Amino acid sequence: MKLNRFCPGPVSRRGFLEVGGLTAAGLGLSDFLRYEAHASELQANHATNDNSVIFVWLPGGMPHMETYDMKPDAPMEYRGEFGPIKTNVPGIDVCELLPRHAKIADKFAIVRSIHHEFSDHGGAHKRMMTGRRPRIPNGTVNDAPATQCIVKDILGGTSGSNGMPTCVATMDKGRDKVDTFAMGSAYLGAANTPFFVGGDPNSKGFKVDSIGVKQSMEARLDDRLSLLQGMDRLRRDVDEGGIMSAMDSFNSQALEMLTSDEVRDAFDLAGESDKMREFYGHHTYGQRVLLARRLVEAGSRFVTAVLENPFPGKAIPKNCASNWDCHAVNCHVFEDCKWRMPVYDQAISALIEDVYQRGLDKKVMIVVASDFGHTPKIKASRGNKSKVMQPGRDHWPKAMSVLVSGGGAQMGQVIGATNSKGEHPIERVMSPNDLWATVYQHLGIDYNDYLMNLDGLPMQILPFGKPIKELAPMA
Amino acid sequence: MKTLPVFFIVSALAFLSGFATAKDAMEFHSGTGADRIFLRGPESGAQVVILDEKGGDLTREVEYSVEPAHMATVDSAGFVTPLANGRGTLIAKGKNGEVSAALEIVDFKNAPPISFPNDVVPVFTRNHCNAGACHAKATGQNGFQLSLLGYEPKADYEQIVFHSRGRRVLPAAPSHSLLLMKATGDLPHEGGARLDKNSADYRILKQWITSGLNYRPDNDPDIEKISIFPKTAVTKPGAEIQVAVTAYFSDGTERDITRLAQYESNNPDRILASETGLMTVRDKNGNASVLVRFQEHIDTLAVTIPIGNPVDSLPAPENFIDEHIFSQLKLMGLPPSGEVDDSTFLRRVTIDIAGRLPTIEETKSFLATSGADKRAKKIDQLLDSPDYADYFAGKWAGILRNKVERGRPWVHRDSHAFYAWIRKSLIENKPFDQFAGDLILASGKAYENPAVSWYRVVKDEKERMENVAQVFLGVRMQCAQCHHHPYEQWSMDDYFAFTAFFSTVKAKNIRKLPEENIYHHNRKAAVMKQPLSGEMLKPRLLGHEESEDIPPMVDPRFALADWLTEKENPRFARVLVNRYWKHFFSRGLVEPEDDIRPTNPATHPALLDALADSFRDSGYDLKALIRTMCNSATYQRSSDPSEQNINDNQNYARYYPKRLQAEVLLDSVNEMAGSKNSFQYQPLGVRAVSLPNEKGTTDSPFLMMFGRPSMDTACECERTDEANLGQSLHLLNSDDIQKKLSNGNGLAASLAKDTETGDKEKITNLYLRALSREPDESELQMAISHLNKKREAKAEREGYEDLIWAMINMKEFMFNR
Repeated sequence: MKLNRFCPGPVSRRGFLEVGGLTAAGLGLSDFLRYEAHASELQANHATNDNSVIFVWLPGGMPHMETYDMKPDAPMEYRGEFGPIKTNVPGIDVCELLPRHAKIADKFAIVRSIHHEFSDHGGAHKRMMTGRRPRIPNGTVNDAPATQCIVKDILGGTSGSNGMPTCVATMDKGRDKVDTFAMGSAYLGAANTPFFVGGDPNSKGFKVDSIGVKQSMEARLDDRLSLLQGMDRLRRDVDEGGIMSAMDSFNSQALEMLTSDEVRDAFDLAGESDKMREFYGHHTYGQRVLLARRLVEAGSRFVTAVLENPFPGKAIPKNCASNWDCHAVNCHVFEDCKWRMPVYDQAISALIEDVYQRGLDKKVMIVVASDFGHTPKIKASRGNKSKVMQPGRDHWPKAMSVLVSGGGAQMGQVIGATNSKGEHPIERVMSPNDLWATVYQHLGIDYNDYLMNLDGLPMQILPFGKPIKELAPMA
Repeated sequence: MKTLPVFFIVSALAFLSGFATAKDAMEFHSGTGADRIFLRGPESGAQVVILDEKGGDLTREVEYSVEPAHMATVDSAGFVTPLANGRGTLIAKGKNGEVSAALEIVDFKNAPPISFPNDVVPVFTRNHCNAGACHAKATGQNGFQLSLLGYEPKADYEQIVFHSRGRRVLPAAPSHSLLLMKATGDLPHEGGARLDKNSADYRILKQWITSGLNYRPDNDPDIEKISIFPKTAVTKPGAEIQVAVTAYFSDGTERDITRLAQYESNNPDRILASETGLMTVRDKNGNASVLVRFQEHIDTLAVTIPIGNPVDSLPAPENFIDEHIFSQLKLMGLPPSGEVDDSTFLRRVTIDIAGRLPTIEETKSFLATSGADKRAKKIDQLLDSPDYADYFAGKWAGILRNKVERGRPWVHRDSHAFYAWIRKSLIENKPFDQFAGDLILASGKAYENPAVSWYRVVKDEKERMENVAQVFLGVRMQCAQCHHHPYEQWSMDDYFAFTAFFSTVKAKNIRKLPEENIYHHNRKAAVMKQPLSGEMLKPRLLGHEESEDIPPMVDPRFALADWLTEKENPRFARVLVNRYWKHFFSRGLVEPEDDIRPTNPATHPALLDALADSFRDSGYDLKALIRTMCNSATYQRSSDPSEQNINDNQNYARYYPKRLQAEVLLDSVNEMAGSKNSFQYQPLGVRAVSLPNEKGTTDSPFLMMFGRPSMDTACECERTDEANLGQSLHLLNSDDIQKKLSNGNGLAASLAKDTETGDKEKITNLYLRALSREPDESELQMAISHLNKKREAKAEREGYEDLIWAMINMKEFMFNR
């Protein structure tokens, strides 16, 4: 059911979530008591389904004119080195570096008209992740919660009965920090940040910290817990606020997560056949999105897979970049694409095919996005690493491409268009918020709902934006 | 203007005298005055409230009749609906008597003209059309926008009558108006069917359209205030309370708005409010209040629900705090818990004042000391220690937002200087009015005057005003930036006129580095533009009618600082004492502690005033305030609940345990493990309580997880003690904690190496260190047997690690109780 809400003024956020606006919806006392008795049902009100999202994030900005928005008729200094190829959907072309994509264009949709105004990575990250215009145009510390955090706040920290974390974010080791990619929870509090998994799932020793207990600690944890049980005698009813019992219940949730075979297995790629791992490709991109698929299958609701360096641990060629930021100073944009795209092509197309193969295409929505596109016009500069003049593309928030697959929506379509040089959208002009509205709609979250900030002001989940109508789930 | 309604009541009483029968003890009241009911027009109505001599609600227990009977009906809830013009009597018959009141009905056939602001807008509010989530969203809803809760009736009128080419209303065929067809659901409406065609609300809208869409009739009066009856009630669980609400108009008339107003309970655990003004008391004792709202006017009903246990003995009051608290305990029937023992007191007060655990030596010596004043002496000693300044400087650095953000290293230096400035003020016990004044008036460079750091972080004048209002006045102005404050008297004019005090502060840019800025008064006349009216507003103090006339040469912040800290400003002291009360007593007398307003009443209003008075009279002496609080018998109650007071969470019948703040917890874990903190730009082993800026939070998953603020707001609420899954995972199984425990220079390692001290002594010292008490025999045995088990497995050091691990995971450790 939908709860209408007042501008509720300064009340506690939790209290607001639990009781705010019940009278507004015309609920009587008995309804109220019923609600109170099942406080968690309120969360269920938001979650009308068990759909999930795999959010592939390409930091640095995927160059739209080397991927999903080819402009073969644009002048040489715009169109670049690569040509388009036809796909299995007449009328849809992709870059020649994406041959696997070309075979499954009926299973994805390309949005070419999302854009924004922030041309620094920091500002663009914040703009994209939060659905709000950031107060400071650079830096990656959010002043509003990232979508991942909002989803977690509304759907709860663990989902389903098996203790799977609701929101997981996976990325390279050392990049697994709240603020690296503007995934901070701002006024929603530290409790609502995603569960971070840093590391290369393609490496042999890949292991998720705090999931499962180290072998050396397994016996000791048992020992410690029994010791704690004996020693921890303070009566819980001294704390009328209920924090002590909340801690106890989180402790048991944590232990469940630590010791549950289901959760541990979900994070363990050994559960996939060699054939499947091969299908996704033995590289970081492939194995990371495979992990994402495993996690949503096990019950996670929003898994962010950050794809930066396709081969961590190996030397990056001198004319290539560690992430997608294809300035000439960082890389030779075409060489970088030749190095990166085959891996990307395999990972994303395998993920899409696998999701469809498993019949998850209604339940799971795959979204591939980045902070911005890159300048349509090619610029040459001296590379910091290569020390030679090389072509590159700069930051360009005015145009970008986003890929969406599944979610029960019509696939095999292109939504929106940029002008002839790929500079800015001319059809179906949209903001990142329209993408998020689509995602929230898929998750059954009312994006018109409010969350309280620390000033006690109600903050709409999305201050503006509407679901992309072309991506509405088909009946 | 406020005298008009009073005249009216007096004259009405004169006219009516003799109607109420004196023989019984029932009290009559209605929404149109005490002792009479006056209804104008067919859509009017009035709520009757009948009370017994103790103030108990009899409204639904008596039988109502009207003479002559054809004039009106009264339902069993006591609501009077007119049927015909005339004068008559309403009689309420109870078991022990009756009471009657004059009844007068006029204009039943010819309804008075509809006023858009007074009649139509309340229909929108009542049906939640102009709720924040619906048409009052900043963007409106599907093209139709209303002002939040109808605070801008003129704009709403224009929206409906003129916008969208006037298609929303159709005077030629009123019931085909879009406004009505959407509201009734006859046309698809995302908000569903909100209005029934047989409802009075529907008739009001239709009549307004039919009668020609006038904004308001000539001489249409404004509402000057609303008033709820009763204003206070002492009641019991399960009881119901009917209220009657009166609106007083500028022309001296009054109207019953009981069923037109909105009600909100501040504490739905204790009391629930219905749309008809019937309050239901739930099964939880304590205090609660209900806010009633009509247009921009508000009033409150305060409800006390005593528990009613006999309170036979109360400790001797140490000071005025105890007198207030104990008298409330008596009223509530809540016997307090006993006095806290020495060990727990020492741990409690050391954590609360110094932000750390007592050392083993401190504990031993305190327990060995005797003398009636040993606790008072300990309090003094802690207040004189630098740890007090460290701890409270951290608290203030958070509220005053000592952020470095993305600053360069020299911004870190500025933030260290600001922290040091705060800390020094605390060590010197600088009077708090002076502290506030120094901050607000800060000018110059951060090198020379670290207090300007506040201006560096809090960047625009609106935010500066909001922060000052919240921190030093306990007033949250944020709402009034966009619309009239829904819970307070503040209008948008108040907001921008108050902001004008900061409108001349300028940052002079030197070498284009923000950290080099010189902050100064820009020598121009202070004004702020009100965005809706476009008016340039001169600075005006909150609650003042007149603007300040400040010449351009004078920094307007002087007037602000003077007013803020002057003795006549009750808010300044009140919010500070409440903030500190929360620090020591776990919950504020007003909650949240920095949101003090008539519609958010204190649990102990007289105590709050007394504390504020005492703080002010002491010359705003912070240490004296803390001394008063910590020496009170109330602070020194045990947290162990008795059967009678176990559910108490607002009367201080016992001490309410609180989780250690993030920094204190981290320091205490280090203390137990023998490990050290490491932070950028900080010496190795720095205590977390003395971290100056938000980097401490963003660089430490532990501090972030346990709720140290990132200093993004001036709100205390940014610091949280909420439990979460991340905390549990961290404490139970993280490498971070395991590294601390197994560190080669750590406590476990040194205990394992120490072959001279016996197990008993080692374990006793661990308990003293963690909990300031010795273990009992069974705790000792449990620990010894674990150690022995590990020794047999040749892993003695692991045994100590496990023991320490278990201790830091104990609730007794993690809480100050």
